[in-house]
Amino acid sequence: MDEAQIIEIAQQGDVEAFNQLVRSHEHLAYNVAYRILGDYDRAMDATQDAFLRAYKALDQFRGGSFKAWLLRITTNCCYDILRAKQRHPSTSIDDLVENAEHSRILEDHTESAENGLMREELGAGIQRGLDTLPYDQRVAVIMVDIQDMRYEEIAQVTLVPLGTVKSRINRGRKKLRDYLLEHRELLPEKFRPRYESGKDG
Amino acid sequence: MGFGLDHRFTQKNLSAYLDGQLTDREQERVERHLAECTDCREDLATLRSTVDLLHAMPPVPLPRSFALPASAEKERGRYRFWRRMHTMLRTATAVASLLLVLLLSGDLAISLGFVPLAKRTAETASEQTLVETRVVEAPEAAEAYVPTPSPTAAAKRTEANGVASAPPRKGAEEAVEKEAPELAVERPAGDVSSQRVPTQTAEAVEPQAGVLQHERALEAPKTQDTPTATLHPPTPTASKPPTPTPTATMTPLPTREQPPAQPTRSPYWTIWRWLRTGWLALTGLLLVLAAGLLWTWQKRRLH
Repeated sequence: MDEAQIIEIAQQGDVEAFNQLVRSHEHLAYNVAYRILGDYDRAMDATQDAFLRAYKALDQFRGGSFKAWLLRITTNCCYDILRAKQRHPSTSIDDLVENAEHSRILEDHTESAENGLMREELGAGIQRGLDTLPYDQRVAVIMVDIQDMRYEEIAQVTLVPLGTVKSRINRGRKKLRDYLLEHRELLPEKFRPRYESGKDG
Repeated sequence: MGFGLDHRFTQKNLSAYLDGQLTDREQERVERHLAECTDCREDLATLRSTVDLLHAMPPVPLPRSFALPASAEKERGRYRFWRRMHTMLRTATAVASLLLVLLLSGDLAISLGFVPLAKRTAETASEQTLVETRVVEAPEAAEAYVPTPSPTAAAKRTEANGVASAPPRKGAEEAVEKEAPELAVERPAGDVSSQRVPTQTAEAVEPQAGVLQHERALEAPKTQDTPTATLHPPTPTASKPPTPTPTATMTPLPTREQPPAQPTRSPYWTIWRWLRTGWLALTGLLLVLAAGLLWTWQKRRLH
């Protein structure tokens, strides 16, 4: 059964059919949410909320890319959470983020502990840089560079013209580069020399 | 094309160039500029490094499954109900707003006199009705405002109102004086209620501009239906002794014999009335619905 057929059945209200869609997209949705929010618990909330919203509003899905539609809902949920966070800021979130990512990677037994730690250090350093980007640029950079999505797909998700996507990606990458040049110590040793030839922060 | 323009173009499109999102022509332009600009080359190198770093970001493993429980189906039904309600409310609000605009426009058009609410077909008959009404009111009004009206002044006023009205007025005065002389004497000059009633009715009968005046004008014939009751009431203070004298004022007037000519209502009047009623009903319904929604939302929030 292909995705279009599953969507059609799920549109009748079949939870089990919808859960098939959840299983094929939850990894992507959760990763996007995690990179946007930089927080494990909030990313879980956003992802769960996104799937629930998608299920409730599935009859409004008018064809096209289900992935783009789902990611739009996910980014909207993330935006709501970020706004709520701005209204009620809490302390020591950064520590929680690092701990969360650390524990997640250590649980991944497919790579060695040393590699895992290095990747975790890299991930945490870049995550800090991503957190400094404006929301729109952050979403665009995450989608193109972390999730390997095409520009057209990003335009579908964010509902903006292709030119705007290009501009957001360009500005987002430049800001992130400038941040990483300024905070080189955040990156693992292995990744630092690659910036030596570049601008000095 | 100048160096500055190419430089700006390259700076703007470095990421797109890295991702192969430029057309052949744009790509050539960027490459040509990169060959001669060190700053842009360095920028490109650092951007490439950043992209490489981002690609090296580890994917985060899923903490748990996000599959929905079976109870989600129930919640979906509730969501669909609220969404339908929301759509309904939105439509009703739009309709109410439109009606309000129409109503206000109609009101303005009526008050400016562009749209006549009523047209008087039987002009003369209507005039006569008005004159007769004034005839009935004239003695009391004269008594109220001029404590001792001279017969000549009263006669002049009657003449001004119309020749046809003279005999009934005289008859009425004589009847009052003959059959209830004490009533005419005992009536206090400063009795406000007895003075106001006929005066106000007289005002209402007179045609004036504006919606309310139009409405009053339309409703005037109705007040004429009971002239003996409203226009000639012997005031409570005047009828202290329970004598049969009040019957003197209740004598049937000649106007009763032929029904007063009704003004014909124009179609605009009906449309305007329906519009007003519709808007009021819709606004009321909206308010009730909004109150219900607010109450339910509060209840759900508390739980």
